[in-house]
Amino acid sequence: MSDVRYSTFLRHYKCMETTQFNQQILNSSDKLFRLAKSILRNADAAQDAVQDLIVKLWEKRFTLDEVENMQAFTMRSMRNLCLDTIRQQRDEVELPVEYEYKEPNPYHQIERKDLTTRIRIMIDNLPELQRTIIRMRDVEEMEIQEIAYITSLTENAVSVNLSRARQKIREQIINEQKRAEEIVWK
Amino acid sequence: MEMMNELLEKYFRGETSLHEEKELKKYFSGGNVASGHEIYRALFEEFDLELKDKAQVPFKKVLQKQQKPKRIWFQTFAYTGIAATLFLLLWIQLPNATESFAVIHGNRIDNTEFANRYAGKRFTKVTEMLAKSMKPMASFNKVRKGIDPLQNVSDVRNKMDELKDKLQFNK
Amino acid sequence: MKKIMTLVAVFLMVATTQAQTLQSLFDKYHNDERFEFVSVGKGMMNMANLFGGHAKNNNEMMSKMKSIKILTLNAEGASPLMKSVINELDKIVEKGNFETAVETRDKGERVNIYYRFTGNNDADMLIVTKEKGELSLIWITGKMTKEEMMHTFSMNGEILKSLG
Repeated sequence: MSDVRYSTFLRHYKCMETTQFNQQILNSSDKLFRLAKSILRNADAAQDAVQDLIVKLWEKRFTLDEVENMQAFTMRSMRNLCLDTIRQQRDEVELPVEYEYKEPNPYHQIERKDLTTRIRIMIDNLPELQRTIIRMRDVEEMEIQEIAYITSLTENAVSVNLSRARQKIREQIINEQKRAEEIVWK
Repeated sequence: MEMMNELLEKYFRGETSLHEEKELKKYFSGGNVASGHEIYRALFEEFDLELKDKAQVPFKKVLQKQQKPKRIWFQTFAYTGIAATLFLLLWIQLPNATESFAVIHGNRIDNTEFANRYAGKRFTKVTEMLAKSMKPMASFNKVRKGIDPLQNVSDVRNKMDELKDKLQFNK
Repeated sequence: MKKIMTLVAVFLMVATTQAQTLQSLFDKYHNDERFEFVSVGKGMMNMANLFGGHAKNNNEMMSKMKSIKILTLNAEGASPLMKSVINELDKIVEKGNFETAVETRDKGERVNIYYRFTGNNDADMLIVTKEKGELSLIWITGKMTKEEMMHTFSMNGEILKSLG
């Protein structure tokens, strides 16, 4: 009985246990869902994507024990899975943006809810990398370091994209405001 | 106000820390927003709103569906399970397990042999069930043949009993 | 009277808040006429050289096993008794810090093997098999460390491979 076999066995044994898997992966399913939804811009597709990911990770759980930051790893895997999905679908159908963009009507009272939805559309209309980054930072409140790992970019690149995303949104907000004022004052 | 202005500018430059961003969120959710900042309120509210988005399906259920074990990882553990049960099977079959008994449908049976044999049968069953899940039906028979050598244990046991008798005879 | 009532109340409280353990589950049903129960005791370990050169190790290993208890229920899956026992079992596995070593599901047959180590190197292994009309629990206790248990299994895995 060689020692090599013995330690191979122990390595298999030390794999991620079911409870660990539940804790580390299933518990971040909401976060994963939001990420998928942001990238795919479709709630149903996001649901499917998360499901796919969980299954894939479950099957791989014996090697997952070697991963240091499980959360970051799953987020990264989620993004990559979504990007693959998009690439595949590009040949078939363009995934639609969930909401229709409506021109704001200044004659009606603009309710807070309408405004919020429009912000969501603005973010959804950003290129994927920027909207992923701005959401990871501003919604999920992640550190730049973590975002860099998930997107496979340098921290500097993340900051630059973050700033660009925020500036773009700001421009659109200001433009909308200007247009609303112009119409009112004409 | 001045401070908030600066903070906002810093934010759009992408230079704020998480702590500062939390400050901004707090500011915009409060009632004291300067008129010049009002247009950005919806933006920060949107972030809070999106955080409330939750997945629909309880994903634990998804996992339960996936429980069909895949060959690659499962073989290791199936071997463990089978090995464990075989091991225990042999352990039971050893002579001198003197304290075994059974209670069948409320009736106590103080017969070690019977109890051991019952236990042995159950272990064999477990082993077969594991082997079945592990390989497709075609090779199941092959696995079964592999398990059969265990039947030799009773042969061994007989031999041991013979040995014991011999020893006693020689005394 | 009051004293007795209070005592009873306290006793009931303790009894009901006491989580069910594997031991209490076995205690509950082993004399039940709907079940079959077998207890295999330790006895003397007088081994022959079954595993060739590994006999010595296995001797040690076997002396670490304390007992095997088997509880079997033959009943329809839909019967309230079956459902109740399965429910109790699930709770015990969950609350009792058991980990899963093997889980298989194949055409209505299920095998789950759980294990746990409690203080002082006490090891428990629980094999649960469920097929149509029958639920069986095999509970093994022993005294060994995690490493020792795994070592034995790896050795026996080799033997199994060589058999077939």
